Amino acid sequence: MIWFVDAIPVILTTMSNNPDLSKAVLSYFQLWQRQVAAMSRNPEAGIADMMATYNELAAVLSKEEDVVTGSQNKFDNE
Amino acid sequence: MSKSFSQPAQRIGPRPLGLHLGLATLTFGSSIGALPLVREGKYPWLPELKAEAAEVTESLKSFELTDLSAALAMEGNKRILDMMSGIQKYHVHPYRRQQRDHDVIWSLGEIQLLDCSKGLPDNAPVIFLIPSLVNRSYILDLMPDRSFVDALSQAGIRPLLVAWNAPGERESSYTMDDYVSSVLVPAIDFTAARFPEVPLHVCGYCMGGTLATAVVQFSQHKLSSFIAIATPWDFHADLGPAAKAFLKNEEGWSLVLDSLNELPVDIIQAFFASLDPNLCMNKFSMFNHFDQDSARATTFVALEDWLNDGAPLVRKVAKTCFNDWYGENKTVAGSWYVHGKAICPEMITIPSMIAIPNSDKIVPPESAKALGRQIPNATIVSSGSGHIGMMVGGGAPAGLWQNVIDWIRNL
Repeated sequence: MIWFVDAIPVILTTMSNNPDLSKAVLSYFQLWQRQVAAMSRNPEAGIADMMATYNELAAVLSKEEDVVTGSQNKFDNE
Repeated sequence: MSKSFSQPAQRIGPRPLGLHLGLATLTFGSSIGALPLVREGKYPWLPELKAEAAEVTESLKSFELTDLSAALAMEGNKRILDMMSGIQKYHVHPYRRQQRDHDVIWSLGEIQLLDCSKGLPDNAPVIFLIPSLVNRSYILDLMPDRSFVDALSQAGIRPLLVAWNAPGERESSYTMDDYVSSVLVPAIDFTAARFPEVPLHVCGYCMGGTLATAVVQFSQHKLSSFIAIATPWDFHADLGPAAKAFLKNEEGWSLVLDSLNELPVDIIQAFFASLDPNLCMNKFSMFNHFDQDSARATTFVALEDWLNDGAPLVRKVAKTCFNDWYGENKTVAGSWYVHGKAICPEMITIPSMIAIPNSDKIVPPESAKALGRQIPNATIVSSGSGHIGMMVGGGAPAGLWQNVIDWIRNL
């Protein structure tokens, strides 16, 4: 904690110089708290939603990986 | 004979403290961990938050990840330090609950019936108040200007308050039947004999209202009306699947009950904490910035003292709660038996008022409405407040308290 206390004036200066950054972070943290609260009330549904989205993401990432791997193979073959 | 509520010398709340500190740290830490995914729009937000999350993601994209991480670390640390400082201020706050000396007019074991009236004649109408078993009864008498019983007394109505107190040796083997048939019904009989020929109203708050429903069915020939405040009846209404899973996990909670012979306060409090893991951080961060000499700081401390001063639930009663109420929802089905009789609100014929706080997170409004649907011709009153706010919040005097006073006066 001590290192952080020492760093506070520096970070505060950065944030006070950029109120938009501060606002963006605050909005995110408040939304995050709501996500945590909603998942706590109904964790099974929350996890099911997250898994569904993760599966979609995995499918997208897998396609991207195929493209990259394919390019790499093509490069190797050349 | 009089009874004064005691106050612990040293505050240890919010209970359980380790859980609250852990939840705050976890929320903050996980927000940092998820930040890169969120900034790239790849975090799987819950459906109800997706639209707002899209806006947040757009605003995050305007900044470098390192700057965001530093700023978020600052924000999270500020909140946790605020919370911890708020907890420290709570611990040392000079407020101590004033001694309230009320006459004990009836008792059995640790349970007492307190006459909270001040100088009322014997012909004053009587309201018999039944609070929850898991919290202290003084939520109905929190502090000057936040006292339901004082308001009733000032309106010429005699408040008789059941003070459950912590279960003693006698109560440790009690069943739900015992609390109704061996405690509340005899206490009602005593009250009817002690104050003959005056209207006698029964009012239950929270779980006390569920118990009161059974009492009213048995004793309604002696009663003028029934008032149920934030009373759970349909235990499956809006109950999350996680809570259902926990409550149905008999193997898990039986281990606790059978080894300790009670459901400890800290486990009950942990259950409430699970309803909103952010509540502790948010409210103590806020309290940290209160003027500690202000009235709102004092009210905060008084309420927090009450929240942390709960009572354990004895084993057999906890099992009825878990199995019959939350597990099988026997109350709604008319298959909750007390003293060999099914409790059916449809059989209640005296005038009944059901008070429902619409922002209640502890007893979902739909759960309380179910009782209103089953009692013939029940009058429903509601407010926008929460479970505790309805009883002691700033709107309580003109809201719930006045509703009850008007109800009794107009019958």
